[in-house]
Amino acid sequence: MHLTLSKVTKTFAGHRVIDDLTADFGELRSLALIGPSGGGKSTLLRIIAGLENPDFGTVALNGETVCFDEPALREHRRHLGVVFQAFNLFPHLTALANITLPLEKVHGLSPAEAEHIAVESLRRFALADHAHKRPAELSGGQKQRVAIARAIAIKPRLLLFDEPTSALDPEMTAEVLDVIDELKNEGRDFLLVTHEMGFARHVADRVAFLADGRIVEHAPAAELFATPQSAACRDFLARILRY
Amino acid sequence: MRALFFADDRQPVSGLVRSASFALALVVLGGVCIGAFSLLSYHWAWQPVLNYWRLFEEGWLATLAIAGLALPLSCLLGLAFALARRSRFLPLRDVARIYVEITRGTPLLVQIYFYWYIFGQQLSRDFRFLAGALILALFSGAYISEIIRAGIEGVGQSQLESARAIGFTRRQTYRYVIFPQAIRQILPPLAGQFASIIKDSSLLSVLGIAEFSLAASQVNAFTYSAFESYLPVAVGYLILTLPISLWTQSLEKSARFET
Repeated sequence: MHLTLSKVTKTFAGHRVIDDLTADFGELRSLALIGPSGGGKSTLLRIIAGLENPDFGTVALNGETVCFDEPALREHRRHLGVVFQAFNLFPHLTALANITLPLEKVHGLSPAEAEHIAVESLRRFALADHAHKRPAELSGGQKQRVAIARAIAIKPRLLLFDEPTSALDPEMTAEVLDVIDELKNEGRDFLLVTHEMGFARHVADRVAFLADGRIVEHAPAAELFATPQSAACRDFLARILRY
Repeated sequence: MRALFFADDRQPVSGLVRSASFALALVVLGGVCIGAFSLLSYHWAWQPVLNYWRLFEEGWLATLAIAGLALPLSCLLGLAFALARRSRFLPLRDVARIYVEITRGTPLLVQIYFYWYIFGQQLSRDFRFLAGALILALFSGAYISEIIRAGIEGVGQSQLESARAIGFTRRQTYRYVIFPQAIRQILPPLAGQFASIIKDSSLLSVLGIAEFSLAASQVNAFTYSAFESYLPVAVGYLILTLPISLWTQSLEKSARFET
């Protein structure tokens, strides 16, 4: 993917959450956004996902500028797979139906085709036995894996993970990180907002450090963690890696 | 002895104990009623009332028909106003709000007269029945719209976001995400509202619509009997409302367990 941001600004109730943000990350497969809470990581992801409109600025994905009006945005969202911190599965539908619903109703597949794809992707993530369970009957890790299965079933051009493991205990976190790692090895493009520094370093081609609504620096993962250039990033990493 | 009549929250009440306590409650209430009547020294005379049995029967069927017509109509109106209140077109929201506030803030009897003096007088007798059902539906629709709105708004923000992320249109979001989840919250109070519609239809008697309670007052006028005219009415309404009430309770239970 090739993601470029130009003068992106977003204000909530007078507070600049994204502040005149400009960045070109170059050609890459995976990008991780790290930084302190409230620094604007999730908001930036949501703008890129077409879930939030910036006040100013432009976002371009693979050379195409995202147009922030509703019909165009809907088209934009249809080709992205978003995975949320709180899973956001539909509680009234089984795991299988959670995956087939967008395939049928948004992407126009026949019920048989949709079911075939859904069963395949559930099997891939070792969820075949849980296909007919509702979210309430699944563990957190299972729910998040279903959510990932739902996101990739539509063959998105970009996957967006918004703190996908923040609501999970360590064991389930590992379950979900394994899946993301597998997707990386498959060569899928994704953007990841995370607090798991070790994982960000391992899985991302490039890591961007966000604070106060700006990208303070971005560099290849190993480089950023080994030799952070800015004082803010150095402090952040020192604080977070102390224990 | 204590275990027979007092609930212990830590363990479920057995069927036998429940039946025993129910029987006791019936005996006590029955005793109070009999005592009250004996104080009145009321002389029961069922025979004259029984002669007007057909009037009761027709009235009961009329009430059933009015309610049967008003129920779906009020659901449609309720849904329309609930959606109007969530419309992006602001004046539509206000129209729905004003309608709901006025309807819920004024007595049904007043509304019946209002609608009647404005629209009803031109109608021929045959249409009275229809007009009655419509007035009832307009009244109940306001309450149902609030029930539906509460159900819709009870669906979490994260669900709407998820629907948006998938690429659903507004219509698809309602169809596949909001309504299937809201219906569970809506059904119990909606069933309760159905019972209200049935009871409220008795007020239509002021328009001379020959429904169940009008039948009772007619019989009362013909026979000069009080309880013999109104007791069958009470029972007749209970036959309609009691199943709904029981249904409501079972719906509430299942709604609680599944979330």
